[in-house]
Amino acid sequence: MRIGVLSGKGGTGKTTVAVNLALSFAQTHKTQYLDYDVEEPNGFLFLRPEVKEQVVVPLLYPEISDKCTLCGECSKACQYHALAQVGKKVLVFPELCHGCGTCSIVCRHGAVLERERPLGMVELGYHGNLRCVQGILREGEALAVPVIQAVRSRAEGRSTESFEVTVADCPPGSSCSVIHSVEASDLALLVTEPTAFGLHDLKIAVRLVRELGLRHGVVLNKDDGGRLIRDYCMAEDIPLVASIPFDIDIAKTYSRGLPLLADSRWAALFTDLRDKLVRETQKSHAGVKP
Amino acid sequence: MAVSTGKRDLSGLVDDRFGRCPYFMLCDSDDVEGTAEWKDNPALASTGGAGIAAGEFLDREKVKVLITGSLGPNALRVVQASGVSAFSAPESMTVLESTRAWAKGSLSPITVAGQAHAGER
Repeated sequence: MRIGVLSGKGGTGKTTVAVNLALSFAQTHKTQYLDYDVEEPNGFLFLRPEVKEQVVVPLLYPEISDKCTLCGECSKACQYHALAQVGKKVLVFPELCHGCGTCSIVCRHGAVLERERPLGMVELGYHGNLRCVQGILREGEALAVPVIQAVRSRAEGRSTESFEVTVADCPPGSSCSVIHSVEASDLALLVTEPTAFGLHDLKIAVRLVRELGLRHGVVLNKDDGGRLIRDYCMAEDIPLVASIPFDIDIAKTYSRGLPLLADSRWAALFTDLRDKLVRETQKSHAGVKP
Repeated sequence: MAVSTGKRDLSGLVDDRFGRCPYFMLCDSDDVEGTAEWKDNPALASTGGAGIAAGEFLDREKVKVLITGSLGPNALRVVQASGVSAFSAPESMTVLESTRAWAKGSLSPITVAGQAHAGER
């Protein structure tokens, strides 16, 4: 079972939900936690896994050799303007390059040499029996997707050992990064908070998961007991699968970098959510609509 | 020479954006009024690297002098490699006034890059 945790708005509690749900699943299933929020991965702050493996994620960029005839085809073909042919030379802007390789394909003179630069890193470790993997985009870099794909192929590729449960902690927003992180999930958990911004961005996230055809449910974090999110879920027929109260003790535990499971109240909340998700997926595999 | 502007008219104001200006006024600096023509900035709708694309455009147009507001780091690299001398004019100047100020030598050359993405507004 693959569970994608996303939110639309940042700071609603994706990592809190993903980390504690993963820990809860690890008690009963062979589980892995994957931090796909590569621009600012923070699940490891709470899980503190012992890192066993670090792999650099490279990105290709062109270098123009002296075989260049200044024909201009490479810069014309580059839709990211990472190449500019002016005067008597071709300038390269590696930070704009997406590593697509088009320049080397269109060059008829073999003048484009593909070089690699480090774009980010994938780290893998264990917290007890929970496997933890995170992608890290290098500071100053803008291209998150290749790092996300590297996490995906390392942790979810065919050749790796199989896990009963994968919890994917997705980035905020609704861009390519989110799509690459959440696609092919059995279930998307949309974490939100009872604020106008929370609701606004939840609506965008709902449109995204509907477009992707993913089963989804809402986790209401910082729940103040109000109607804002409940009314929306009811009107849209989206199941509210869990509610985490707006509670000073939760904030304190979080600020110390500790999982919420240490407190039996919150441990019960995540156990309930875990069991509910297991039942729901079993039902859907049996062909019963939730 | 080229001047970044928002209007197809010599009385239009200088646009201080380079990569994201709507038009470039192109002319022979010896006869601005007689030779002025306006071309769409092909870089205007770029998702990224607008300054680079605008710099390539000026190179294709054989521009030697550019009047604009400021240039970001990438645009400055392209403009310098293309052998263009860039000058800064305030947005309060019309295009015609800016060419006259340049002829009198009262515009300051752009030698240092301004902020990146300054034109994305």
